[in-house]
Amino acid sequence: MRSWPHRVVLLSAYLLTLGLLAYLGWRGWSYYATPLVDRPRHLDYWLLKPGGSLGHTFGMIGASMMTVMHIYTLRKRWLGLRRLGRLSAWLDFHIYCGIIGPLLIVLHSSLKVKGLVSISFWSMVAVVLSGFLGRFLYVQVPRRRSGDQLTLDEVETVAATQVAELRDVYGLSAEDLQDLDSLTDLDTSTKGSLLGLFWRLPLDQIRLRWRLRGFWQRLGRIPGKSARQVHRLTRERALLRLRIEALSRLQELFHYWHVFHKPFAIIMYIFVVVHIGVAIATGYGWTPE
Amino acid sequence: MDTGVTDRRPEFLGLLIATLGILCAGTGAAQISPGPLSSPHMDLEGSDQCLKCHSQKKRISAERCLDCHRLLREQLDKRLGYHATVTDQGCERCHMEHHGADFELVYWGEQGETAFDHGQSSFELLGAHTRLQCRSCHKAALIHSQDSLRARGKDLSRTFLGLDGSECVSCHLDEHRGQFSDRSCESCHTVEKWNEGNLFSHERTRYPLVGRHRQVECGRCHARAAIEDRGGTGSTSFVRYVGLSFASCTDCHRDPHAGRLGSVCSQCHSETGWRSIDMQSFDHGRTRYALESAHRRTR
Repeated sequence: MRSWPHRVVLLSAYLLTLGLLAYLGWRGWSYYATPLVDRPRHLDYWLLKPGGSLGHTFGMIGASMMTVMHIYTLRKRWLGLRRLGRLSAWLDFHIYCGIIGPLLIVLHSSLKVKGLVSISFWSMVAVVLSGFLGRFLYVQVPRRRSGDQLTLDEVETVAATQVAELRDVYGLSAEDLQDLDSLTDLDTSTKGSLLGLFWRLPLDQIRLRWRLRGFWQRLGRIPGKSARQVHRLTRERALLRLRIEALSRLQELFHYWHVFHKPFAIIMYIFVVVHIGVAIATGYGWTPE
Repeated sequence: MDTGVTDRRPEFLGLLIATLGILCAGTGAAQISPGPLSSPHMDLEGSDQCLKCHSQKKRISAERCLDCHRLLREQLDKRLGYHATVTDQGCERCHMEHHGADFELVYWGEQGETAFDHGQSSFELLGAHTRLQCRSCHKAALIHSQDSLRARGKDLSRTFLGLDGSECVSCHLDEHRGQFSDRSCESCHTVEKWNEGNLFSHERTRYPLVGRHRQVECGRCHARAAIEDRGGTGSTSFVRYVGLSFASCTDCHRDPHAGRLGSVCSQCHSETGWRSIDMQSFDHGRTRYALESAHRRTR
């Protein structure tokens, strides 16, 4: 769960940068929409072409963002960096750079995707799209506030705590708790293919919310603030059970997701290094035109 | 936690990289380029040739362009031609590359080449020149050192190089065949009308025209002389203006007196008319019928 200041900073950063990128895309649309063969005659050619004063800057900032985003990877893998903030915050940074960086690269390319670097470009697209799926899987796996994954024992402990709180604090009976647990009997993880989890999980979560409404009606009127707490706890409990049930398959899917996400990222970086190397060798270094 | 999943990452990663490696190996070398070069530069295609035009310090190096475009370098060194006036931007600003074989390297603007301001070159178009099509002058026949240009791979029907605008005769045939080599064409001709030497005045010559001579057509005195057509110009004669004898009237006129009245015609005749004779100075005694006695008094 993110803190409020963290949320505000993150949302502001997204709104500002996406707004700026949308503006730049709108201003340059006349150029970007011009057929490739006519672009050299366009007024904005020397500004927006990939090696142009602005286009080249887009590329440099985009590539830099897609490099620094790996502070998250280092933070995740290198124990020595544990003091360097929460992993979940670095994941937010990783995702932010992984969205804004590629969008800048799209502007840098000016939608002219040809040659060897196109392999890098389309690998980047694959990495970004798979990144969205990865983020979805990430939130399905129960975690600590820091972002670290919970072990199965820890998950069971959390579940037991939820049951105890619902029973002891809010007075839910054994029948109520059994009724609650029966809501998650959706066979999410056992039916269908592994890849199908990508749409079964969200669909089952929607179904679960409908079932929860019925459960809350069956519970009857709960006074005051308790109602909100009971609703939150029962929702968390139900979702946790759904995720525990699917956990092993989720982890298997997450494993395969890594196998897809990383190789494309590696290919992207290999060709980016070649691209940047060629650019530097041919004079397109750090100084914009 | 044991998920029961075997670690297949290395195999999968290796497979993916190998697949892409195979995909790229064949075409990779040529794919570093951002796009195909234009047809005149086709021989520079290939990733091992990038640095023939590009340099790490200057992106597109004009020096490297001029390593091949030597004729242009010669013109720049002499401060001749349009390119000598372009000092504040690189070659690539006008001659954009990597846009395909059919892309025109020379862009004249939306109005085309006829709208080019020739004043930017070292030869401003004036008078009748302004009404000419570009290729009326920029054509193989008027290009000097044609062999040298061809040897440098120039297509003489496309290039704008090779003309020498320093003299009229660089493009125009010298109709006078060097008779006026001591003076400029502009002393008689204008760029507006070549055929009429409207600045010419016979008064400024060594033989100013006086009297009836003013009414005589030029060709009556200045006859055409035959000449060998050496340059394939199609012209086998020229009008002789220089070297005509005019010290004596008989250099042009036949002497009907067969020399009996002397060699100084002006003693009796003047340019106001051949038949108007100055009777005061006329000596009948020099004719075949010398006047005597009463004939002397006859009017």
